[in-house]
Amino acid sequence: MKYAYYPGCSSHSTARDMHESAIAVAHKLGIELVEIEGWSCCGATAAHQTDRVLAASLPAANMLLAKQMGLDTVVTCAACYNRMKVTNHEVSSSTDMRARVADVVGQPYDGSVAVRHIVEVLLEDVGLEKLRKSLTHSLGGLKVAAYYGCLLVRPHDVTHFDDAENPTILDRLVDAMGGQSIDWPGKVDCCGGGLNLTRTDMVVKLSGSIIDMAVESGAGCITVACPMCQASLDLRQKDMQKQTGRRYEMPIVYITQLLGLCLGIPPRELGLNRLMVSPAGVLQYLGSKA
Amino acid sequence: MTADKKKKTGAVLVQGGGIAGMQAALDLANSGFKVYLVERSAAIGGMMSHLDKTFPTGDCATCIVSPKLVECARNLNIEILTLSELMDLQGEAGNFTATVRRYPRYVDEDKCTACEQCTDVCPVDIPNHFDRELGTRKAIAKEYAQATPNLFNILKNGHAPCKVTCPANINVQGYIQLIRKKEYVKAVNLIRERDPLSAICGRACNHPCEAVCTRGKLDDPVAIRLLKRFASDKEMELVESGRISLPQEKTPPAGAKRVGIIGAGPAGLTAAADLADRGYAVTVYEAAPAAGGMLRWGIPEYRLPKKILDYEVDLIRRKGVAFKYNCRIGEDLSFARIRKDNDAVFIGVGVQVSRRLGVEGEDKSNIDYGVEFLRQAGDMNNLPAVGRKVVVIGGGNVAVDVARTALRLGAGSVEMVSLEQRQEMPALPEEIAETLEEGIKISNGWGPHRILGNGTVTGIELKRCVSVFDKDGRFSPAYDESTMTTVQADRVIIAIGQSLDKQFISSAGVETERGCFKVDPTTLETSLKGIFAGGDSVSGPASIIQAVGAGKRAAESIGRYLRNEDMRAFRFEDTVKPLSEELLPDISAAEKSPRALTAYLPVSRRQGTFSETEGGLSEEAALAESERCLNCALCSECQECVKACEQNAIDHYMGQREVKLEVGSVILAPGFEEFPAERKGEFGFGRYANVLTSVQFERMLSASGPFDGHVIRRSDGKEAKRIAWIQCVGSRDASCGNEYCSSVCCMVSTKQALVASDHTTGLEASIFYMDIRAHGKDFDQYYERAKNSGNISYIRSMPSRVLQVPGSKDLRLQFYSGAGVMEERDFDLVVLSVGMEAGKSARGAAGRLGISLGEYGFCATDRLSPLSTSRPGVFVAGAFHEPKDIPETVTQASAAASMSMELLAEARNSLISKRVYPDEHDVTDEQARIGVFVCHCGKNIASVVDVERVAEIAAQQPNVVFATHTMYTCADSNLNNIRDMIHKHRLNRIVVASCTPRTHEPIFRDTLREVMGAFRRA
Repeated sequence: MKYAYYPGCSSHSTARDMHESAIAVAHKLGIELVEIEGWSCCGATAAHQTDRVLAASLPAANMLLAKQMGLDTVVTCAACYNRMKVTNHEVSSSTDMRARVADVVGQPYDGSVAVRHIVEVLLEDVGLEKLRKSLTHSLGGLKVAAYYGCLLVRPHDVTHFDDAENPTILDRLVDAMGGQSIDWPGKVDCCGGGLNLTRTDMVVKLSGSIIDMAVESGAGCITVACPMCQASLDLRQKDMQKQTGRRYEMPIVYITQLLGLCLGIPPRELGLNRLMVSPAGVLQYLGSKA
Repeated sequence: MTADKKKKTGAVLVQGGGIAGMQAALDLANSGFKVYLVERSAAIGGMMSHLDKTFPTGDCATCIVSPKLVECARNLNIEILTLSELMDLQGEAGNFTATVRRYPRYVDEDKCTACEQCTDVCPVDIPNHFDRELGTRKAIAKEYAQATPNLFNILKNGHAPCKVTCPANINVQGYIQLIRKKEYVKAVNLIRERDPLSAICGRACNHPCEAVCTRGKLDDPVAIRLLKRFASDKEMELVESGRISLPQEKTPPAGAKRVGIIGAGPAGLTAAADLADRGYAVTVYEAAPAAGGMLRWGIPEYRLPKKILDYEVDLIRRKGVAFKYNCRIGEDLSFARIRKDNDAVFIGVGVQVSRRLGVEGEDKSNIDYGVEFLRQAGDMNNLPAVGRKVVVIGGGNVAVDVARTALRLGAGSVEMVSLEQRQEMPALPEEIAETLEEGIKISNGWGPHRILGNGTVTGIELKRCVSVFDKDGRFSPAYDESTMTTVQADRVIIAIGQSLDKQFISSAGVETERGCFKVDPTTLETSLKGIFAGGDSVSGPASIIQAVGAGKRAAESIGRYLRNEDMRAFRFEDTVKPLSEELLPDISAAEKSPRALTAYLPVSRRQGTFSETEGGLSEEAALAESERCLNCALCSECQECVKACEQNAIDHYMGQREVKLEVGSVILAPGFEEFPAERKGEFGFGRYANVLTSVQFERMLSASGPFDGHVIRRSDGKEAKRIAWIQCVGSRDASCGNEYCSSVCCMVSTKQALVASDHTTGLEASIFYMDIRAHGKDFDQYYERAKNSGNISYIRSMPSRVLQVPGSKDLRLQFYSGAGVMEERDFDLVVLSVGMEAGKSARGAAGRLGISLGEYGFCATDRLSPLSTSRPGVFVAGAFHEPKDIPETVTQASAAASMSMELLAEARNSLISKRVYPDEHDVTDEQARIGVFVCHCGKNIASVVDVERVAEIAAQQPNVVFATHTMYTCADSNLNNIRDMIHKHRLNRIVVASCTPRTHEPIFRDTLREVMGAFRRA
């Protein structure tokens, strides 16, 4: 299993923990992630809100680099994933867009580079069977709310990620790790991530309601696969507390961090020390595999 | 008309037994045409039979449809073909040849009296599709209360993965369902049909069934092995307490052919039990002083107590099997002698000789071998010595047994050395876990290099094993000899496999292959005629259940061999039919539930004792566990219904067949399918229990439905007070490809809101709609009535999604209101008003018959001839034409029937039969001569009424000249009896005391009308 790896800028900043845990997990499972040499910004948020051609050209440039490697592209960031998927969709459905993108990046791109999110690789390429066999630790029945947000699942005709309304990829991974995934209504709600800096109050409201639903559903932690979701949910709990007067201490952990723990990787190597809300509540459930 | 033009055929095939098909059939039959009413399901009635009420009159749907059902059933010129499908249509208008496929009912239509005793004993509850999966039905049941024809049918899909995978093909689903019904003895008997070692396998089987259990894809596989053990333990408990007795000791019938069985291991015991049941005289020759083979000498007491083994061996002995112990073939008795004494021989000697390592130092003292060590440990008088530091070489189940046995015999410490990594070890994961729990160390990825010591073992040198299997998956270990380690040991036990006893091979003279006996894989016959072999001595070291499977297979062959029958044709294995992937139960909506856990002896109490480590399931745990079975195959073939049916009407092996019918015209009335609501995932159907489709809600309203007409929240059974209807789910929706209006949903929801308001006081009904289409006769008044009723509000809106509120399980409906703002409201139930789609099977049939379809898959017709399909002579009626309500459907059906009549006018009355009764004669002035027939109705009446006594007293009444009681008075044979008795006793009044007059009275009246003329002539 060998892939071209596109880390995206968040892996160097807010989502270092996702990057670190993904690399560690991949290494442990024998997944070879070859970083795309000379990769550049995917244009998320900034470009796609200003210029449609630029928004497609930036991912296209990166996917052309991956094409030279002859490998499928794997991303960890859901925003990068979404931008690349949208680009593939746009250049393959519009000759006009294809021509304009070729104009910007200097060579034609036909949208043929397969883009995969790391969790799709874990579920489809590694498979639950092999995954289960590789685990050394178990989540010990910890109740986990799997939160998908919007960038992975929408628009479904473009991303084709699992199911738009009731995705279960993360749930199945959680169950395989000996956790208990819970069915809860907040799975694909919006965290407000796009407004993180401009309308923080909206983020506090939307993310707060997601955490409230998880708490009411009995979750001991929320697992995510998107750096924006992680940031919105993890960073704003103090503000939620101020707003509602209730205590918020819900650990928000990446699925790759949970998996890393179950593969016996030390918490520090998974960036668990970087979380704002302590993951102690998760770690206390961790036990060696029965 | 040209001279050679064929005469038209005066018969019409109507596909679809719904209200359209029934109406067309009745019109045609009453106008002089023969009708074949072909229906895909087990009963006619169609969608209308699912409905509670009709709009806009609020009439009871059943009350309107039932008389049509009865009329169709009693019309001499309507032949109802249920479970049937039109596959092909050759010829042209006026002269078609139709090919109809008839799927098996598994119940003989001529014998079934609908007494229901099969349903009473059926242990299998499966989701009832008639109630749209809201309730359950039995695997054998009647489609619905008024089902016409009044017959039962079995839902069957093949065989579950557990049974297919089991080497002995035990009917796992069947015995689990019997356990669920607390029929423990029946469960064990069902197991023993395929495996006489039920209690043994309940403890020591490696359960390949659990690996393929469908439940495993949802949460964890059903604990099949533990359930088998539970049922077996229950049986033993009942025997011990004297509540049931052991079976009578049998002796083989005189003159029975003789079968010799060499080896009393699992293969030999199974073959012996099976052959004794088949009536042969079986002798088992066993070298050891007791039966069991590896079960006795290879599996330690703490996993399989000898008491259990002895119990099941005794059951086999009671079948009339003779055991000769201490009888080693080649030493105590020659193989030639065995052949001479028996008509056929089965060899099940197993593999008894431990393989050697073949490394330097293996000749030192204090080295033992696995099987020999365990055999010695099984002999309490001669326990083997263990040292302070024991090292066991091997990673299989035998190695694990050796290590754990050594610990129990008092070894200071035990370490296992396995070539394989932990996950690759051939031993069962649960056994490995228990081993580790007991403090045994397992070193993985090491292979022995040489054994150290001067004369006596002091340790073992190990080399790194880098891979165990080669590219093709064959055992071929590769080592890295630069990485070595040494382990201290004062005793080494080698458990790396076993092989066949060479001495025995040479004495038997049977051909071998790779050190095992060579046999025909189907019959298990060896190179010598009449000599069969199976188990480890054929396969190499394998599992108990594989040996059992081989014993069964050999027994079947031996029986056929002794009767001079074909050993290959139609064997048991050929009856096992795996389920295709798409027929497996849908687990997406199933609820997770934890697998049963059993108790284990505390680790602190395992050392130095051989008490059984694993406990059995408690009754509560076993019953809960049995509920986890998903009934993959639907019917479990437990055969309980066959035993209960006194009419012998049930045949589990019925197959499908095809019939050819000559008809002049065809009317297609296959109806519609509901839009699959799960496609609109945002409304949570299939995910939230309180989200229903409109058809499900109809079943909920129905008094004969799964909730007896109570409108409740499925999540907690509480009365539903706040109900929302979402309109246009799957209609007028380009996102799912259905841009058309389904025509009836506005009125359906209006009706349901009105009817539900009658059921529940204080109901708040909210109908979320785009616009209301009340286009039919009286529809608008109906809508106005609902709107003004006070408790029903119509909310013009675009609903975006439904969430289930955690905790309360209320449903939160979010919608974009007419005022242009997002709003949300909470409800107890949300009903999705699902649209109509052209059914998959109807579209398939159209393709086969060459009928054009329109844009959305409904039948294509011309604007000015809306009933003619693209093929002359084939007409369409009902919702397959386009979505429509019941009144329009009925109108169209009559019209389509007229089109057929017009086409076939010249052939009218050519194929019909008329019921001709003898002239009736007046009995008014005759003295009454009364005949009384009192019906048992199986047990239905007999369980509450003393039927014999009623008949007895009736006989003493004035003018009664004959009185009797019969099992099923309505059965054909008894109707004949009534006729005979009328003749014999010149009866002129008949009293029948049976079940409902509504369904049965016409049958008896008909019988009388048939016979009265004969009576007069006599």
